[in-house]
Amino acid sequence: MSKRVLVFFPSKEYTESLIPEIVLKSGTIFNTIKTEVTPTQVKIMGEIKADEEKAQEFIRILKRRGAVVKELGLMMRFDPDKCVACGMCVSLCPTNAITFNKDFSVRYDFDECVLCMNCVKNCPVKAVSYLGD
Amino acid sequence: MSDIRTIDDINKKIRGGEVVVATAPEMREIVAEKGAERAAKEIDVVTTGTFGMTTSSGAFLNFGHSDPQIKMGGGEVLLNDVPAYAGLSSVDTYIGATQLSKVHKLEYGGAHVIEDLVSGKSIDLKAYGSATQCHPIKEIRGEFTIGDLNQAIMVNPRSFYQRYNAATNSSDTPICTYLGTLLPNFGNVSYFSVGSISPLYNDPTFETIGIGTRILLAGGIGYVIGEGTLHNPKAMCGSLMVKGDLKKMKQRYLRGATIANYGTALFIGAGVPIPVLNSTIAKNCGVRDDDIKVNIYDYHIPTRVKPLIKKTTYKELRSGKVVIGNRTVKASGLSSMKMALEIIGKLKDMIEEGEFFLTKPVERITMESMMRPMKLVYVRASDVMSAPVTCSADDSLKDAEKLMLDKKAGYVVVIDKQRHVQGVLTSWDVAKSVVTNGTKVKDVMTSQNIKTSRKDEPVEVSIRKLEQYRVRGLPVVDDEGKVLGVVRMQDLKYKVK
Repeated sequence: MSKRVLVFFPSKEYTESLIPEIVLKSGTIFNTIKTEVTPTQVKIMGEIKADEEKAQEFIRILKRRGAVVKELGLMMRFDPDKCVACGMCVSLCPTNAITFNKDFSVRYDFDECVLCMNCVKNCPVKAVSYLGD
Repeated sequence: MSDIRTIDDINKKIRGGEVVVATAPEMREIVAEKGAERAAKEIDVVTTGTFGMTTSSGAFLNFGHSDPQIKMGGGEVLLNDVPAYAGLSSVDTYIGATQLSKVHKLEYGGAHVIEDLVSGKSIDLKAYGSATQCHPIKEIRGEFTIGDLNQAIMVNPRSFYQRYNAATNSSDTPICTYLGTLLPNFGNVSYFSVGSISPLYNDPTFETIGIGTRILLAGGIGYVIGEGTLHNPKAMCGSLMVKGDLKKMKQRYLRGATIANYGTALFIGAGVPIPVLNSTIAKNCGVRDDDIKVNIYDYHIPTRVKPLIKKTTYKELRSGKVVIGNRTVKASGLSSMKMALEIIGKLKDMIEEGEFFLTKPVERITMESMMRPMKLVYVRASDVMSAPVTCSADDSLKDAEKLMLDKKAGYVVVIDKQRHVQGVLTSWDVAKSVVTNGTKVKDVMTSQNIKTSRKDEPVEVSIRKLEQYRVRGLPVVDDEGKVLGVVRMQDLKYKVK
């Protein structure tokens, strides 16, 4: 079980030990996939390795420490009715977020997504979209 | 091979509700299990199908006369700002799938107009013509849906392309092709076709598919009207020209598509019934994905004949993973197995329920190939190149600089004794040497990733390279890689004109 999230900290609230501190305190593993630091904010993409309950607890702690947390699954939208299952996105996906089901329909798992946007930019029928952060 | 049944026999059985239909995947198993002879005895019809991207597609539309009348022929026709062909009579046009909107460019094209028509959406019409005695107005604006048209007939000059190259990219940047985006360093493999369930694999010699064959085209009834353009059956690259009534088509099987940074195309689903008249036809229908060979080419090279990277089969492609060298690369097709299987099942149901009858072709599809390349009048890189200023890598920088001044050259090709390119020395490299303190040419020259032009290369390709890689010049090399000259942007500007 894992949940991908984007965590935004205002720069002044963020210290490098913040995430390890929360990890130690909560006992929940958090993998950092990508960190982006700008003068005003720190944006961390990561993966909470826990079941839903523990993941939500982890998100609550992050929020208490001043973070804005967004779940990747809610930032991307896949519309299976629009999809023609051509599979163009499948080979462009750098992770295993996009795969074929047994019936050859396309399956999106945004908890594997790294927001590379390859699928969004390339979908011929615009069946997948990024809703913004 | 004597026939064990005729198309009339099959239609009689369809009418009587006792026809035995197998989908292509089912037939494959039956042939493998029981052999072609028994399969032919048991099965009357095999349904095959495809759902893929087509660029050679479009529709003839007739608007009916306006009052007062306009002569669109010879003028200009725009449907939702997408130009349609205006070389026909006063109120006929042809909207092609790849024509781009004048406003939305890649986001909306003829393919999308066709999808919007089929889904019943209202289309904006602008037409401009010249005023004549019979046609007094020069300009009209209208709105119509497919129901308002007298006729809307899809005619696809090339459909069901049997086999097509698979593509990959060896370069270090992503490229945008008609097979979609190809990621750098063999990042992915892209291909067309649904493989062994596709119609022309099940009837590669056109035993049953011919002119007049009734098919399921985008959910409606369609017909094969001839061989397709670029028909090349000898190389297993046959194609068909088909027509169908757009008014009867369904949006589910016809979708406008945009290939990123490339253009628009139309996804079309089609089903073709194959009457099992004898055991040879049954045997052909037993085709498997591992029987179909496909070549993977490097699409980074923009020539017609591209470097072959690997010979593979649809089986490997369809597995989603292809081994190239020592790497496993993700592969996916631009044809939908899901939709193709749905269509094959639907066609089977229609035949079994007596809603779809088979036709006997009025003429066979030719087995002649029509695949000659285009004859071009073009300027070659070697026609416009200028004499190269060359030096050797071991020359001292001072000498090279003196040479550049003497020859007024800002671009010097560094060559070895065999006249092979080792690098280039530009005035920029010389400027750098002031800081890096190099003393020999080889210390400061650019030697990584030198782009060259082949001597026979059309000059347009050289121009594209100059622009794409933002380099000042390209050494022109012969087949052995020896430097013959240099093409520079400044040479091209006036020489081409």
